[in-house]
Amino acid sequence: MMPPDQLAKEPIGEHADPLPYIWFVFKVLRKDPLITLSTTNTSAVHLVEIICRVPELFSAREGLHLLRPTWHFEKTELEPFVASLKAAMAAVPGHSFMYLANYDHEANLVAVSGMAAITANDGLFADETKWFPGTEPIANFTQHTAVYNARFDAVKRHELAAQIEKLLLIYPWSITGETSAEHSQATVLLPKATFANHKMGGGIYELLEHETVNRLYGHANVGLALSAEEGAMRASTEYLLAGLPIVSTRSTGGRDRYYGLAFVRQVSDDPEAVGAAAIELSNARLDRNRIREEFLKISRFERHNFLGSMNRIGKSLLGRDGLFPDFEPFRGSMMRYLHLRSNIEIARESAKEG
Amino acid sequence: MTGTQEALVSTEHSAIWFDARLVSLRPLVTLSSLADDFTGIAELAYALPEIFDTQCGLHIVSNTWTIDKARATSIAEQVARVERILPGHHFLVLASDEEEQFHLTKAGLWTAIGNGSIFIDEKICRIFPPQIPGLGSFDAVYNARLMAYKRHELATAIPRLLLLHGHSFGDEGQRQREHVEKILPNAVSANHHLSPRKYQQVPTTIVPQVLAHAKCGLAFSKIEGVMKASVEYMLCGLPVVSTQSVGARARYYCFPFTSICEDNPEAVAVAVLEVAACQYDRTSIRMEIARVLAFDRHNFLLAVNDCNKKVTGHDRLFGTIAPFLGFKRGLRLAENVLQDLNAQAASLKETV
Repeated sequence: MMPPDQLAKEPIGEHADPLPYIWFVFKVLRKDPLITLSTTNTSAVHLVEIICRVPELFSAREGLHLLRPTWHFEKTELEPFVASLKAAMAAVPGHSFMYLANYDHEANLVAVSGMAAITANDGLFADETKWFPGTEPIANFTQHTAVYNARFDAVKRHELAAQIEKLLLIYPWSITGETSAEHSQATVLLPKATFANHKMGGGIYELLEHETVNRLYGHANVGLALSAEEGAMRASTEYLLAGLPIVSTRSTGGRDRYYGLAFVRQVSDDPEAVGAAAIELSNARLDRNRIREEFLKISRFERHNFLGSMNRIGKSLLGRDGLFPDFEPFRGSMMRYLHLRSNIEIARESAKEG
Repeated sequence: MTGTQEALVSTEHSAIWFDARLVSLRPLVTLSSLADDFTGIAELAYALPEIFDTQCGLHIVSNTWTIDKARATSIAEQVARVERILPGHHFLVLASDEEEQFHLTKAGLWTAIGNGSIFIDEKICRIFPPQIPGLGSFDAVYNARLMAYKRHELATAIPRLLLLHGHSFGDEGQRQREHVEKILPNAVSANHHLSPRKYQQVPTTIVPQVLAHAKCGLAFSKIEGVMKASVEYMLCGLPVVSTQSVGARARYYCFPFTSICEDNPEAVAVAVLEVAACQYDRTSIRMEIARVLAFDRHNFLLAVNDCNKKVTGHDRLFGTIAPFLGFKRGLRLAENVLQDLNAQAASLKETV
């Protein structure tokens, strides 16, 4: 096991948290044999931070650690990622690592690191019990042509929604900590839009629970996905489960895995094209339950193949049959991005369990 | 035939059966099958320099048998051999499912999920009414070569059984034919019905008409490739009864009308009766399988375009599955493949 002091980060300033400021998904899918799921960025395998701080969880001779991306690898120099992966592998000798890529070519890009990879898009992990149409309307919210659920960040290209008259915006906390400033800029860029988080908070930013976000989806006829590059974009899957057709630009990151469906339009990078497609799909008044059902049929197919392959791969790596009888351990597992401190607590609790 | 072509067909590889096609001339993109892990691209390049004499190319190869760790390693060695001979050319090895993708990426190969069933032409494989005179109706049909690994013995408890069989290879073919006739004396051979005097392979266009005479399709091998007949059954509206298998035909067994049963004749017969009793709507079966095939095709094209852009610089080269449809409908000898590639090159030049 690699000693923690080799991995621990220096605190920044007198009152700084001694732990690195990392938010990621970490889940123990099962204990015996140990199988975990966690997210990485393109330069670091965050799991290593857990391994070095909760070694008792990883003490078994064998284990399998599934890693997932939060951003695509198309422009990545892999050296830092490979170094981080090697550190993780060295910390748990005998354990296996496998990458769950959002699309086939991403699996090829990551596999250059020497780690096997399979395609398992973010969309198949979405929890269909949390996102659905037919919710009760929210008071004082009118119907909108389109909704865009995206943090205020240049990569999200909110400016491409400028031609949509009735636009509903949902926006998580800013990752730079400048939510208020970014909101002010967005109100200049999109003065007619409804800013849901501020409206729900009576003028002050309010972080919305998924139940509220799902109800807000009911107040729009179309979902937007406007970044040129990112990861798989979870909101894109949420739109589909909530029964919204999608207008998207061409993108890198894997959200287009589900864009072969009839109710998705991929348009060029200009506000007129986005606006026209949004109007077209909005006016079509497509059956939300049918959109959801079409996506669920694909999702069931994806899960069938993911589970089958996971069980066969798991058997070849860990020698155990039927590791996952059903999809339950994976459902919704990509929703919980937590600070390293919380993930350490989860790991410690899991280690204590029998 | 040119001298170089003669060189190819006179090599030890000339007797192998495979399929290869040009899906794009410039940029050069080929699609070919692996035969015993052998990829004939270097040999084709030697024989057809006017096609392959370009600085880069993408060569998509499709397996005919399941890929495990050992095969992935063997394929990687083959690919490395050819990439040394043809610098600037790259391979994309198709995986039938994510497990094969795991082994292939682990071996350092570029791969994409491309189950061979996505190349079946649904315009040919479609629902027909039973219309072949004198053929009658059957509880089940088994479209499989008469080879031991197809385990025809699992069909012995099915009262009314229809058989369709492609060419058998070698001495085993003859022995197995006699064995199947012995263990399934009451089964009807569609090949014999359509061509009583001499064995003939049933043409691809006629197969769906034969399938129309049965209530379900069978799939019994324990290990093989993807078994395209399995998806053909569904495109023709038949439910499927299968045993557990390795080789990725189970990729498409996520529907109520796909029944997986135990490896014994009684369990098979019960499953056949059960799916027949459900009276599944043939059009619905076809629509369900078509939906997931369309999904797999969409992502196959994305993956091929991604790789092609890296290799040749051309963005979004393929917008539809059309150039790939019908691949591996039949395997051919090297000599015939060479002739076809030349014809395709001429045709693609005209298109350009």
